[in-house]
Amino acid sequence: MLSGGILRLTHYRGWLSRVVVIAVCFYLIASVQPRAILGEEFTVETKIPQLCVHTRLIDEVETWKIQKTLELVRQMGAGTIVEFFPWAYIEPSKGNYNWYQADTIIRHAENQGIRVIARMGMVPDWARPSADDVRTTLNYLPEESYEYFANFVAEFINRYRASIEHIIIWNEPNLSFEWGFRSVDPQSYTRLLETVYATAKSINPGITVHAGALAPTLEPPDSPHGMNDVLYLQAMYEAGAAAYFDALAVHTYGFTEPPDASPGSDRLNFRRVELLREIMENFDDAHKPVYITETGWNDSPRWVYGIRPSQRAQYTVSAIGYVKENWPWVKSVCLWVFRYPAPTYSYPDNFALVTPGFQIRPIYDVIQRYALGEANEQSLWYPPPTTD
Amino acid sequence: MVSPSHHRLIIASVVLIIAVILVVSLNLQSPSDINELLQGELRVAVDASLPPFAYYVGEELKGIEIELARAVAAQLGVKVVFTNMSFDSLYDALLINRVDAVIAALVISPHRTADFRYTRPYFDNGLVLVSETGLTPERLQHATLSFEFGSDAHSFASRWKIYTPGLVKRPYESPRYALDALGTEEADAALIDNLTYQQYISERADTVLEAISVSHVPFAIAVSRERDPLAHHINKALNELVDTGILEGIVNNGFKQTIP
Repeated sequence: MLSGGILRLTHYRGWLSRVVVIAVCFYLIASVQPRAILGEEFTVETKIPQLCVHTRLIDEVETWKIQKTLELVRQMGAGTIVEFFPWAYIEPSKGNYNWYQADTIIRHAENQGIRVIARMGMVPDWARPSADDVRTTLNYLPEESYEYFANFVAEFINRYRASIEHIIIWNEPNLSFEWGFRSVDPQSYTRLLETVYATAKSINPGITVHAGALAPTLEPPDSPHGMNDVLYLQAMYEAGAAAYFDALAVHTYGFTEPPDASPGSDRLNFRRVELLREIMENFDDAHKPVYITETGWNDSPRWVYGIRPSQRAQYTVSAIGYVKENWPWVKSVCLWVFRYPAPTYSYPDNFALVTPGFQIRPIYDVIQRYALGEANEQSLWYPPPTTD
Repeated sequence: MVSPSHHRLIIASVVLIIAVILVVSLNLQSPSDINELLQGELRVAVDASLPPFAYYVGEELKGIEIELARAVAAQLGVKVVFTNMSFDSLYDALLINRVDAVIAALVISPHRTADFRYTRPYFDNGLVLVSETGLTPERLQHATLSFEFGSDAHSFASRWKIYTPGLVKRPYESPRYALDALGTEEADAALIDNLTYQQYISERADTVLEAISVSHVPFAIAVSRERDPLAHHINKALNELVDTGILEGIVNNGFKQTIP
């Protein structure tokens, strides 16, 4: 028996050695993957302290990509990011938390000297109606789950007490899609703010709770798709929302108009934020700051609301300058979006400053030079061809 | 010896077996009855912000994808009902069965195939290398390449420049200027998306240019993964539209429309 065993071992020795060699090769290949080691702490050098970008790091699988993204953010001169921290990811079952990805993002942001504004939302299965009763999306938050959401926010604030000073409660609740494909409801959103605000302040009285983050839209009354953002904000104030937030988060996009185009109730452009500010003033709430947590232009050649990439670069730096000179009540201007972890394969890709593969788009260079106080002296493109 | 009655029984059995096989195979080709799947109407989500594929003229939806949806529905023998949505809500609308299909310049996304089925592509909006002499990427050494500043073509050109040091990059403020540069001999070749190229040449019947595809951006119809049989029916209808030349007619006609 023993000799048979030795024979078998001898027989397999050749295979064993091959397996070991292959395993070593795999290890060596794996070890040449980029690593994300936290080194010396950086600070952001910029002439534009308001400059901020909305990142999409939560879906990033590899840590080195989180680090590289944040390095590029810092090098561009942006000192703040808005990042999404989905409840559904972090508390996938009730009371069980997985902080790994959130910890990684916050640790690396701190290492680069970047401040994080945390956007909260996305409902786990257990806090939504059973799929047997009704099919719902991840944006469907029933009122009976408001307390659960508030508890999650409290856990988040408590964990990142030393790092996070700003949270945004929900995203674009004036769109039916963002409200779980239900009719939008500013009164219900105000009740959500009320529930979360009290809990958040009890954990960290210094936390700045942002409300709003409304989508700029001209949806007519009774539209199934959503509600005009100006009317929605008005309805929020009428429902008593002022007592339940410290700052207004605003989404304002330029669409096809330049950044200095005048605002109007019948048009969407960058200065639409002034209409929202008027509502704040009307309700004696102008002492609160505004954070533009999403803005920008899109340079898709196909989208009807897109502009040319050359215009986009010009409009973006002009918009940042406009904020600096005209709106002292705006504390951050966050460009949507710095980089996606994977392409959308549609026009949203044309909001990005850096591609998923880390190719830097020319607009990044233009913003970087502006943020570092360097002039864009050379023309970036040739004049139109002429036949004479 | 087999008696005549046994003979008839054997023949009847063989016929029955063949009939069963035929019925089964037909069912495989058409997994479910289209009327059971759709109750008489195909609910299609479109994004009317993407001319010439879908856009509004007043209250009326127009465009290549609107005509394509109508043609697919006609093939299926049902009527079509449109819902206009923005990109963000298109896939969710499929997930909660708000619509049956999305036809909105969606590019086949490998990241979404766990939840969605895509049909065969109906248009490719990849980049094309355009020149008067049929230049290929391999022959761009010492050539001047025009493209739109900041576009995908710009990214491509920057990558090519790494491997082709002699390439001269010439960015313009618009893709049409990049194509115009061929006529003025400021550039030897232009790198441009297929849609812009198709629109450009449709306006200039006398211009002779050659275009070589260098990347693929395939637009396809999306259906929920849970509704495989429906995807099968739509794909079959799309094949029919391709084979009969109807799809090509819809696309070519779409490029000729004046978009407000």
